[in-house]
Amino acid sequence: MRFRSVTARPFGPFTNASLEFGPGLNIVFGPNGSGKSSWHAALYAALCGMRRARGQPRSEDREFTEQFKPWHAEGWEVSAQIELHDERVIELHQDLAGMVDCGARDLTLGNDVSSEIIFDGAPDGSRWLGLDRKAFLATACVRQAEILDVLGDADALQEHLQRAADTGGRDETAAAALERIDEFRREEIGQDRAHSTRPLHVAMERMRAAREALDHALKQRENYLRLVTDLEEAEQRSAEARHRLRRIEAACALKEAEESGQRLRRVRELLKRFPKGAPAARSEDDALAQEVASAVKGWEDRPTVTSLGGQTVAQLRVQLGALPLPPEGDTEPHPTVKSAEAAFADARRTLELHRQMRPPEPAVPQTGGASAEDLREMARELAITEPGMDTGLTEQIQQAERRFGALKLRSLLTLLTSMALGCLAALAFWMRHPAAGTLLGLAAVALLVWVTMARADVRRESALLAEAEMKRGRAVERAADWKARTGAVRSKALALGLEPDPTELRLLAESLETSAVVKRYLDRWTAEEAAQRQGYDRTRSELAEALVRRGVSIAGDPEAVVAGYLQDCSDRDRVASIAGRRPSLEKQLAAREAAEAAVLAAESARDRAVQNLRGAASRCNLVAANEEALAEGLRAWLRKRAQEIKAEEAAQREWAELQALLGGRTVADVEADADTRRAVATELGAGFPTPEVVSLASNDDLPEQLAGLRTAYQQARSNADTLTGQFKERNARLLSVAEAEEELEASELEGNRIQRLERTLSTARSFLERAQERVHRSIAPVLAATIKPWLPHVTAGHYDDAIVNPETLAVQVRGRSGRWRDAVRLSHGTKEQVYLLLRMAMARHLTQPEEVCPLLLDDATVQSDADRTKGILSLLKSISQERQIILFSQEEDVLAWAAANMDPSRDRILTLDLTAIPE
Amino acid sequence: MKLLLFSDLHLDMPFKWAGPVLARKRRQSLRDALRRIASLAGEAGVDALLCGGDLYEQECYSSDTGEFLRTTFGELSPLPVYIAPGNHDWFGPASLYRRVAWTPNVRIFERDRLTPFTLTDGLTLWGAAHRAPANTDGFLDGFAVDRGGVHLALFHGSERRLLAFQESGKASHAPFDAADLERSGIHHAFLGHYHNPRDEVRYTYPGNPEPLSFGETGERGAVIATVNGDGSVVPERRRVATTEITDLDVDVTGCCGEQDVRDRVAAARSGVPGLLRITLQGELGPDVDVRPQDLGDPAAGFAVRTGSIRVAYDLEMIRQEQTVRGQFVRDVLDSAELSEEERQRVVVTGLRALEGRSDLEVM
Repeated sequence: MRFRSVTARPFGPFTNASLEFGPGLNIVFGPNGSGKSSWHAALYAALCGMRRARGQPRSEDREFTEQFKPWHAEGWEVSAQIELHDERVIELHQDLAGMVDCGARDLTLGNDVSSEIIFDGAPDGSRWLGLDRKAFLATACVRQAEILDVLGDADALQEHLQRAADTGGRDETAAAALERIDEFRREEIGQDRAHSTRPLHVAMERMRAAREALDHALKQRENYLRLVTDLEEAEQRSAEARHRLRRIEAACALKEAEESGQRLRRVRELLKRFPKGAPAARSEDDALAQEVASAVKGWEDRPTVTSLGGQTVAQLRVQLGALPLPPEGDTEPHPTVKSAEAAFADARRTLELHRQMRPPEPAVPQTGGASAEDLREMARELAITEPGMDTGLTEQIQQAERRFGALKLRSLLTLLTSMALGCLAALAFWMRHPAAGTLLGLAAVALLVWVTMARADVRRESALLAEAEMKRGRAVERAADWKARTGAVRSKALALGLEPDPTELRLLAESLETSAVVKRYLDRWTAEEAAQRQGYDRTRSELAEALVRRGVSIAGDPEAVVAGYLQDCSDRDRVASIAGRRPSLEKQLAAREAAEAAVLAAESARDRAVQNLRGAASRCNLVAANEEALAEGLRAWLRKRAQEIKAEEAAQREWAELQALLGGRTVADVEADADTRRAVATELGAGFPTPEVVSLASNDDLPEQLAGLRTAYQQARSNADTLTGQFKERNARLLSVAEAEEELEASELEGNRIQRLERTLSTARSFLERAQERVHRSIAPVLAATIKPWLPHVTAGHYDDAIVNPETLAVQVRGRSGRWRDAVRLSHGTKEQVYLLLRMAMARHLTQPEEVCPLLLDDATVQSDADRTKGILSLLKSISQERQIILFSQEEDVLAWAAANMDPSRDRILTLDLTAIPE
Repeated sequence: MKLLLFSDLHLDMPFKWAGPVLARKRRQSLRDALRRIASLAGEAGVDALLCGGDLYEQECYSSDTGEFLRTTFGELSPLPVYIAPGNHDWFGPASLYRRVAWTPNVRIFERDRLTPFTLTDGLTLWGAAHRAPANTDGFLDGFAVDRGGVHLALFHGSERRLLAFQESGKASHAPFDAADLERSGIHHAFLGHYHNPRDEVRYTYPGNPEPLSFGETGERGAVIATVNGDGSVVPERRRVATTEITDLDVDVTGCCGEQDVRDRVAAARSGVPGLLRITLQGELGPDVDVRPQDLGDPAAGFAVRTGSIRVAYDLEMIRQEQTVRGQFVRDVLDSAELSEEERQRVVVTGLRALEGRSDLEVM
């Protein structure tokens, strides 16, 4: 894209004024106040227009309006002709006042192309560059202040590049945006950790508290509903208990009413029987009645007198006096004596048998003190035969010596022959007989080869001979050793007085071993004999002790003493059986004495009963023929009296019953009581079927049932009352589940909002960081590649290479020294030119690939000295080969440079007239 | 015979969408609605008051709810009041229905199968109760009337065909088909459960008499049902709600600042009685920072929320930029791991951060 012209109609101080531009470098020259800034703004406004939106304008729009609205004319319009990369020529017209007559028209085809570039409600020509009006301002317009920033602030260049790379220069850098997000997260979200006052923790705490509150309310309600259920059941149980109680109470009341009625009827009946009051009591003949009854009883219980047979007491006493006394001592052999006697007999038999088996005395041979092992060792040594010499080995050695000598001799002769042939060959060559010399030489060499090969046979034979001689040496050593050892053994045998014969020595060893065995047998028999003798003595002693304990003295043969003891036992046994009859006779005597005493007592009792009977009959005035008749008469007397007493007692009981029934009340009182009870029974039984109550009333255990049911009802009622109390107490403190749910919902909404915000910020930050890294990595090489070819030109050859840090977009350059240097540390002149190159690179990067963005520079050289100005202009001249440059300047140096260096076919010098500006 | 029918009052229910103050007011409004229903019963001279269930919330009822119901229905005595417990006020062991000492005019259906009450000679009311909060079988399954005359039914159940027309999340309880009514000999059924009102030849859903949430449509309230001799029913709907509730959409397209949005919301709110919820729709400029919670007044029953608000960044243009900004927008918009809503929110947040703005929270 390039500007062809711009027309202010009106705009700022100008009305219907135009500027036309060349495709290359355009210098718009004019002093202060000549309208350079207005033309700069007009170019921007004609291309980009102004946003058209409802509501209040933005501050930058207001500022732009205030600065560049027409000074003296109505309306506010500006237009421009531009040429696009596709060779279309477009006229843009911006109605900045009314925002109505705005449009873009293809001057070749005459059609309206506004729709291609509408942005924020108005045509924006920078859209063809892939920019918008804000981005165009940041990308294509280079202002004096920006260059000053770059020169004055070490970080400005880097920040500018970041800003351009991140947002096209219109907004903040991505780094600042990331910092802003982080700050916002810290302030508006924070961490969910203890003691934090940030929203996230506050919201989470609120949610936790709300959840706990809801759980508490739900649990309380669950308990409450359980209590309600329990209370319902308790009330039900209480009602049922009360129903059962009322039923039994009705039955009891009915029963009491019936009893009361019966009591009333009984009172009335008894009163009829005692019209004169209480009956009289009798007691004057009680003593006689008791005497008669005692006499009759004594008569009826009188004992029977029997006659006694068998031996008398005296006879039995005589028999007792004739019996012997029981003997002293054992009547049968005592078990200890019997077992001791058996043990003694066993010990004696064992000792006798052992003595019969005594082994003979051993015969010990004379060995001079040598043991059987020594004798056998000497026999073994003497039995070894003398080792002989291997005759084959001797012959083998002799043959090896012969072969070895022959081989050595043949080799020597052959070597001598070879040497002789060699001499002859040399002689033949010397005598110029080469053929003969060659033949002789070959023969000599052949013999020499044979000798060399034969040396191996000589070495082999030598080795075989050495081995055979070594074997023969070892055989000689073994024979000498045998002789020495055999001689020593013979000498030792003779010294011991023994025959040095192997067979004799072996027999002597066997005889010595046999005598040792026999001696061991005899030693063992002697020890066992002593032990058995000891057992014999012990059992004999035990038998004697057993007999002494049974009172038998020991003298002489134990067997005879034992036989005497057994005979004594038999004698005592016979006497004891006779004396054993005494207890039986004594028992018979006692029984006889008791029987005779009983007969005497019965006769006495019978006599007393007869006397008493007669006495009682006499006091009752009874007379009879015998005692039995008297007794019958007294019995009749007693029966008659008992009947009289019974009648009197019945009257007394009835009287007492009457008094009990009345209980101190009058008959009228009893009648009133019966009426009351009947009424109560009627009332209590009202709720129940009469047959059921009547049936229950017939039960005998009504009082027990009533007591049990009263207890059950009281317990059920008490339980229900307790639960009712709990219910009232809990009912008054019942938490609102609805409010708890609402609070939880509200807290979750807030918590979810904050968590969603956290996720959004986190995600946005992540995406932004990735985008920053990606774009910086892609843009860094573009920037470096753009400025690299220009570097030698703008630095007079000092620097020829450049790199851009992909993370920070920091620029470094390198010269002939090979050392990298930060661009911000370059000289001002170099730095501002590098900056312009970077702006160009950035504009190239940010615009559509097929389009070229023009650069508008406003007083870009005003702070530069003459050399730096020339450097900038030279650079701009070079850049203008690829893109249109429009430079606004008030400097004469610039004008002079332009006059000398501009290409009239591409470049323009536009001089502003100060007088064209109205006052 | 004239009957007054209502259902789904949901006394003591939580209003999660409202703040604590408004929620308490809403619960009081439910009680006020019942008082108005009781008054209407007297004014209209009906022969009985019918409740089709969900009279209160078993899980949330407050300590004085039982006494309130006892008093309210007791004051109608001797007018009979028939109640068929629903899935929210199910007749369980700890049911409030068991605990209240009802006046004799109040009759509660306690069994989970249809049980008859003779209203007058030849007119029988069959009712049933939910005895659990869920899994109640259809009351009409295998049911048939066993006597002559006209038969009405009162229960809390779901007509299967209508379930699709109810609010989101509505579950089916004690389901039945409309044809089951004719098959079983019921001339007309008075029903509860569906909050959207429905008047059909053989059944009536009165709907919730007092608004429970925003977005409710249809003429809800109590129904005066005149029962003719042939069993046909003529319903007459009466509004008993004490509160009006309104949902409005406000287009904020073109608003240049929060004040513009406030002005439009205020204009929309003007003259609207009762509870109002405004949903912001349209396209807002990137510079406009609007927080719905700052615009509403929940305690006064005025809520503002965002609907399909779009921030007017020209994202298609920005994504073509060869800048970090362009790359960021491209990456976010092309991200498959984010939902459309998340993409919009992340993009606007990032762009605002790049613009140096501090209003990074996007509604």
